[in-house]
Amino acid sequence: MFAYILSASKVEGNILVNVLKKQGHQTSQISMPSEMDKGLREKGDTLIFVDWDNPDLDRGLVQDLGKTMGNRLFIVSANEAEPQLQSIVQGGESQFIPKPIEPTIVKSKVGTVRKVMFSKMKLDAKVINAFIQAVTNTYETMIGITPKREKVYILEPSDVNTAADSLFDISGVMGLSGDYSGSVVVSFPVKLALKSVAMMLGEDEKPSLDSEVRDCVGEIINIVSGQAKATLSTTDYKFELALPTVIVGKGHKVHIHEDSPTLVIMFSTEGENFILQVNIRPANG
Amino acid sequence: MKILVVDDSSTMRRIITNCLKGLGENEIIEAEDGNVGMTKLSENQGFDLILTDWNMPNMNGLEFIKSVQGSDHKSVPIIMVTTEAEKAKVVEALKAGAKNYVVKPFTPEVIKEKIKQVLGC
Repeated sequence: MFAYILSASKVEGNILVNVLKKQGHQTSQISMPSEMDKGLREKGDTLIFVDWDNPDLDRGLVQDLGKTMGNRLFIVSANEAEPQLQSIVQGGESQFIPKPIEPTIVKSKVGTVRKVMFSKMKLDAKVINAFIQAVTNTYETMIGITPKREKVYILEPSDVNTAADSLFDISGVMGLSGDYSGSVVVSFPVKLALKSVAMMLGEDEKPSLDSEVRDCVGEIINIVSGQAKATLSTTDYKFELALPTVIVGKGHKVHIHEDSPTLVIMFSTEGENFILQVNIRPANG
Repeated sequence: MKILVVDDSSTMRRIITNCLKGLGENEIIEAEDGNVGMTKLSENQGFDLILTDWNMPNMNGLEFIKSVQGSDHKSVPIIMVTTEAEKAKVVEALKAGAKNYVVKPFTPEVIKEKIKQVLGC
């Protein structure tokens, strides 16, 4: 997410920048509202921090911002009881941050806003369906079995890579770039990976996750991503594919865009589960 | 027939090779990218057919097709076997010199049919 810091002193501005950057936000310190990029300001996930105590601040503008930004407007002040400030904070969802600025308070308030935003975020059904279809078609055509879709859900960024059913023992990872960017991951437990590879090649099951098994998992994510890409090419969701990579080992992590929802689709086949994970956002978002 | 299979995935080369063996073909040479493909063409004369992937490191499939078209092997028919499924990509490959196009995932029957269309056999 992007955060504007308006009219703050150097010291206070730096405190805010440091906290926000640690949370993964891009920031820009400005002295006039006219310096804000209109597109960014109107984006649904841009945050604005305003130093209420700056005598040059146009407080009427802050009042207007309060109406449109809701909980994404943070008013920083040493005087919480100031009536006009109170009317903005109590009249809407705008948040108050007391001076001297405590990084933990900023982190907590921004974290709450992010949680609310992500709980409302949905992934377009087109994207979900394209990937479900891609996995099913790939498995049916190349492996000869139809996986069952078990559940579909969105993970918050803090839960990705830590949730109990996020990633298994071996994952094929595909990077996406273009109008939309992100990653697609297909992740298998060992037994299912070995079984799927054997069925795909029409050969005996390998005893371990050797280079051939890893290559096969890479090819599975390649085909799944290609199928989804083709299906979505007639929509707004256009992207190019990188070359696939494969990661092996319990507890491995995959980098994601932290300001975008992560879709997880769990499938079951041959008595085991595997997952498809999609993290995607507009390239300029 | 002598067939060249070009794909950076050893899995996909194996799958295609197994398809071809199922059709009774046994003289199959593999390459992991377009550069190696060009080398194999010059080292082993008399190819009857080439199957190539698109997205490969070093020299991708489209570059490889164009390279073949500019070489002594331009008469060898080429089938593109790829995940790139959009119409514009198919047109691009055919304009570059591919004679036919297979989108992954595919069944052995699809490979057989596409070969039949290209070679008229």
